[in-house]
Amino acid sequence: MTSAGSGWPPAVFDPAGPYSEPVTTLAWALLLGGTAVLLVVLAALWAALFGSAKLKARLGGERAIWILGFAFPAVVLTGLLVWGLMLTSSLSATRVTGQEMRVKIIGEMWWWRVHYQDAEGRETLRDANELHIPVGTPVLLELEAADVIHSFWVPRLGGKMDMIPGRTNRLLIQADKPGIYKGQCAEYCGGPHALMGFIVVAHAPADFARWRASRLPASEGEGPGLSLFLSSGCAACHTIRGTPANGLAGPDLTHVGSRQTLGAGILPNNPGTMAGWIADAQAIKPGNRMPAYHQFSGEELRAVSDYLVTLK
Amino acid sequence: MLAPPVGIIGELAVKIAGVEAGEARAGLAVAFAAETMTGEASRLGARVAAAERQRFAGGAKAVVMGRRVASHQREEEEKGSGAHLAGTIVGVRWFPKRDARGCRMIWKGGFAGSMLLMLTACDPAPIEPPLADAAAIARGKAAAARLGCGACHDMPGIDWPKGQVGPPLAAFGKRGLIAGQLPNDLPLLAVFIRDAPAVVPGSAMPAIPMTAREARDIAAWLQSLRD
Repeated sequence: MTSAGSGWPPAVFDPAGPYSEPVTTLAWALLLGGTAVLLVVLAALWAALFGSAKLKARLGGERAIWILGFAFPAVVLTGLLVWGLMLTSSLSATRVTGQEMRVKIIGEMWWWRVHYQDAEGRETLRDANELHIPVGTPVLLELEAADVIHSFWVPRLGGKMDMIPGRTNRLLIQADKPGIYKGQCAEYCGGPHALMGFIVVAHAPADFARWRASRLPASEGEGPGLSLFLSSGCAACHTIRGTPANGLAGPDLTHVGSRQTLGAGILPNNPGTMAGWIADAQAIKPGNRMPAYHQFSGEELRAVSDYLVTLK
Repeated sequence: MLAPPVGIIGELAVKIAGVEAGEARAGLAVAFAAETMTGEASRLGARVAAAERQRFAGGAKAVVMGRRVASHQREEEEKGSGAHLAGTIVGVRWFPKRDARGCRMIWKGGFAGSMLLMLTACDPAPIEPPLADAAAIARGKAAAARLGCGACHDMPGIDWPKGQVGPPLAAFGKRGLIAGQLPNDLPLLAVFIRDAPAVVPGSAMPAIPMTAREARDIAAWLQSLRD
């Protein structure tokens, strides 16, 4: 698995599943077709400027206008439309079979809530900024937004879909190989928009079952770190299941220690980045809604970050 | 009792500041240098005084050349030039204030000399420890970026993030101490990078999971940062 922090920009032309392959094919076809049309136009321009009188007369004739100006674009564009619709029809989330894994993802300024659901759409597990999926299984995403318009985009696994307040948009993604796939908010949503990243972790089916089982029990950690976490106001925004911390404004931290990234897909997750994020998240992601916690001593800061990284 | 070099420096000082009103100033300069020579000054003071002496000698050369350049000028102006130079070298505050006319003359006569002084008074290149090999330095920089050290530290060549929790690490190779407590040498720096609380208790920097080699590479990179 590649490092979570690397791979910027996301590999747009490297599909890793059936819902991104057609997008890539279409993108290459458009690029090559567009280049061919451009060459035809440039050739016509050259003929009009430097061609013989006979060539110029022919280019300016009514027949050339009919062929190059009407028939050619009509045929090319109609063909492209039909081919494009056929090619991408499989991407449509209207073709849901009921066998898909279901996850609701809610865009927030500037992170993502991830609510895993069962087959009936009931919530089973809450997480943030990271989605774990089994390989080879289509995943139906219900995309919503809590505040402004965001756009969900994991280029190697599927298309791009806006998250619009008051609406639920659906998108299918699938990974064919285990790995980490980087995502990115693709609709400008305010200051730290560029730092609103996302990670999809695809597991082999057995590994996925193990991961899921590890996520269901509540946290059992305790110690000075937890006391500081609770007494310093962290719990007003963050939930850690199994503790009194039940805030909802920020990401659920029940298993934050096992996440690949911090700060919504932007930093690697280790005790150092955790401490840095707690002490001054504003220096890392200016404008995000977590204030800088300058009041901790060195030892207190380490106690809190050490506690959080143990929440696996 | 003065050692012979001090006598030479005294002569130099008199030569540089060689106007009647300058006698006392020369005396001051000699006293400063003499303090060094007789070993009465502190180690730091000695270093400063030694540097001063070097610049002093350079200045003397500049004066001689400056005099040659300004030989067509009036004697009085020439004296002003010398006095001005000595003032630059030894410290302006040691000189009594001059009237406006004198200052103008000093400016005219002193300019050429000052230019020459700048040419001759350059500090010698500092002696620096040899760098680790370039591959280790490059690996260290990549490891620092990969581990997200920027979450707390502003590091040269890493555009984002530029955290402000810990100190900025520009020119770290010139820094005397690690975290204000440990000598900045490579093996110790590597230990500190990997497990700061073990060597600096109370540090906010946590132990960070990495290999010993990564820590050494990062230390090599940090020590290669010289400007």
